[in-house]
Amino acid sequence: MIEETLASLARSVCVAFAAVCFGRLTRPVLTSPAIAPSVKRALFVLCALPVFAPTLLTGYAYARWSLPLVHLPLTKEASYVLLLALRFAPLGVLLYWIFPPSLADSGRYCLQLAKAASGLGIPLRIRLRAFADTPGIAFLVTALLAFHEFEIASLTGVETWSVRLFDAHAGGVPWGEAMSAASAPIAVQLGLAALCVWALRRQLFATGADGYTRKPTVGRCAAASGVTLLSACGIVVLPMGLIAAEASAGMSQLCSSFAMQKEVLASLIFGISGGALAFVVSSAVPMRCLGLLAIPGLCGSLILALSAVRIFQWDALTAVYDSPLPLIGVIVLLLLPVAFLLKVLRCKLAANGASHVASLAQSWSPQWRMTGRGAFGSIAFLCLLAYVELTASAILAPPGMTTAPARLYNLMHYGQTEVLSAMVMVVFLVPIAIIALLWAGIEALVYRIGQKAPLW
Amino acid sequence: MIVAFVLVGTVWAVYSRYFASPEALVVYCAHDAIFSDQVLDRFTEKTGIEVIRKHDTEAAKSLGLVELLVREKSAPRCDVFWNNELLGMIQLQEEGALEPWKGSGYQRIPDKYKAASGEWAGFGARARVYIQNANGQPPRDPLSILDGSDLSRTAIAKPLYGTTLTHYAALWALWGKEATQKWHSECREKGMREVNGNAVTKDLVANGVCDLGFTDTDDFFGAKDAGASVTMTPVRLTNGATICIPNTVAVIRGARHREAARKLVDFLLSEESELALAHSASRQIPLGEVDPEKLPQDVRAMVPWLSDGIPLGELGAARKQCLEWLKGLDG
Repeated sequence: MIEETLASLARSVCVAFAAVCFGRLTRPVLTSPAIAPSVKRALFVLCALPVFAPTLLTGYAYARWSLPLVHLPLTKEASYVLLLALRFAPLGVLLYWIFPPSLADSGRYCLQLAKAASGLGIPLRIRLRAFADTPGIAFLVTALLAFHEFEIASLTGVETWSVRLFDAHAGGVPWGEAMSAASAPIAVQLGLAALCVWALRRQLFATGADGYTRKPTVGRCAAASGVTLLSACGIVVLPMGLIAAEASAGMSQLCSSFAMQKEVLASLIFGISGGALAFVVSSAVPMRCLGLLAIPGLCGSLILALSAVRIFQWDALTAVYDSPLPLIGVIVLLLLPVAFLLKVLRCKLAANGASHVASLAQSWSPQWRMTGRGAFGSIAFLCLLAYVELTASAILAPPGMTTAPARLYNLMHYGQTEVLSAMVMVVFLVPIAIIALLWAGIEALVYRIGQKAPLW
Repeated sequence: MIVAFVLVGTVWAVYSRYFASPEALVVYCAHDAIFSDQVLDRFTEKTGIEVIRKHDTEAAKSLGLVELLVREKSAPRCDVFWNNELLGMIQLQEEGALEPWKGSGYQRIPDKYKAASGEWAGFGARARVYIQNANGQPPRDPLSILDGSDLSRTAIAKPLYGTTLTHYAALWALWGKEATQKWHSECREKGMREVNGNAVTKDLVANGVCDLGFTDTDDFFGAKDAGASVTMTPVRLTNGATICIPNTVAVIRGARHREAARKLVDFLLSEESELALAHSASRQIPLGEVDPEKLPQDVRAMVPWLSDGIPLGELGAARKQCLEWLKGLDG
């Protein structure tokens, strides 16, 4: 698997480089007080969309387009790298925003002036601290995610080490044999994950300086918005549009014969339990330890699920081997890095006077607005990610509890059809509808309590 | 901590109550869920025995479950294994993981498609075929296409898994090691596309990206039913034999629900199940005796291929050697 490992590494370096460039380009737009908050919010949401969109949707939508590329391997490779870049580059923006450089722009300018005036070199440690922390995090995290991507590669027929390892496992290659063949990519992954955690912990306890006082140029704003839109369109809007166009024709047939209730129920169970547990763990564990707990999750679902298969086949653990526990455990570990980021984000947003005043107020309404919404959003988001998890559930779901993404992935094997597209739409809209209903319900409840109106 | 325990406890309770009744029969099924579910549902309807299914991923089927059954041999969780091919079942037989059962279903299956000792029996077969994109033209002779110098518009699944491995094992048994390896490397040198599964091969041909591919009858009918302009011809080895790959079923040694498992095996080997599979979208060819009038036209046309089928039961050693070589190639 050396060849595939090197290819994946080369791809992930390209993607990570794009993420750093995009992060650097967009951060001033997102943080400048000269830009309207509504514009910044829209840009932020557009950046978040492709990062967290289910890869199964993207892979499925582009699967048919990838068929003719069998004769054009270079184009196929370039298309895959482009898809990865469109998906993960916006993460660079989010990371630049969550983990701003340790030194404010003014401080960095002073440092450059001092260097020019004195003619003395600045120690590497300080230079790294001043210029490389945030790009380092953006580079490492996006490189890691691009390195172990599986779903899009599998559905568009790209040969990556993750696809080969999954196929080897599903194809009956004994665990030890498959894992030892994949030792090179696993070593790369572990190395990248450890570096990520090290960089994140350093930055977490640094005093961030995200004030960007200069007004970004029109060109920069236009470029940042353009790339963000391109990314959101390429990974979310276009795939959803393609699937929805096909789904509309298959919806009537699906309505009369929808047979995936059990799978959807299983996914909801894993989604709710896995997401809520990840939130509970991330809330309970101190930030310092959470970084270490995030390492297994950073290694990706494939390695984690395959390791869990082995662990739960030990005699002492066979009692829970055929139960939902291994999958829930793996989902929680997978979600911890995201839960960790969300916790940092919540802390960052809550660290202002308004939140403190809200916490002092003896009323639900301000507390819900200042902290409750963030917590609910985090739980909902984690549950959604757990619901759409494919790789771990395909490997670890107990008999009789096949999840909806695993079933869809199997059905996708027969090619795209109108009914399947309708199924894909329905399966992915179910949790979104539930979350939207819950959100609306809580908002209405809090409003009524605030107004001292009767609840019903 | 309390919240975590409550959550896990609730999931466990829901799982035990709605997903894993202790009386339910556990079936590991390598046959595609969309085809097997209706047969298993019919069994539950007839007998009242609930069936919990564990399916394999459709991309790389069956061998994953075989490996799992080998690993679980000392403490089996599975009662019945419904495999979609034969060679994995022979491996399980050699491992001593299967329990003989010669019930009513076993009796109606021809000797060629069952273990003499009763450990497994075959039913509902599919055949290895060439799929061609007709594009309104009459199909060309596949062998003349394969004899050409440019095979860049032909496709085959990776031979490490599934029915392509069976195909390779048949070539290995018939031609021997050197000739099979030579054929393989010549095909690659001439540019034959090696893709991830028979379904991708089918998609490439159905969408006109390739002109010819090696696949199975169920994939061919999938393309045909979707409206693709495709034709098929059976793959015939140099001795004229076809490659017909039956589903196989067996009771697992140490099954927790032995009686129910035997009932399911008898049901799967019955005429009713074979007819249901013949009428399903996968058009499986019945192995036991059935009234030809009850068969759909597509299946009736394939029945003669069965008598020419290569005896797959003798391919165990060839498969093992071929797989070792392919793994070496794959690095």
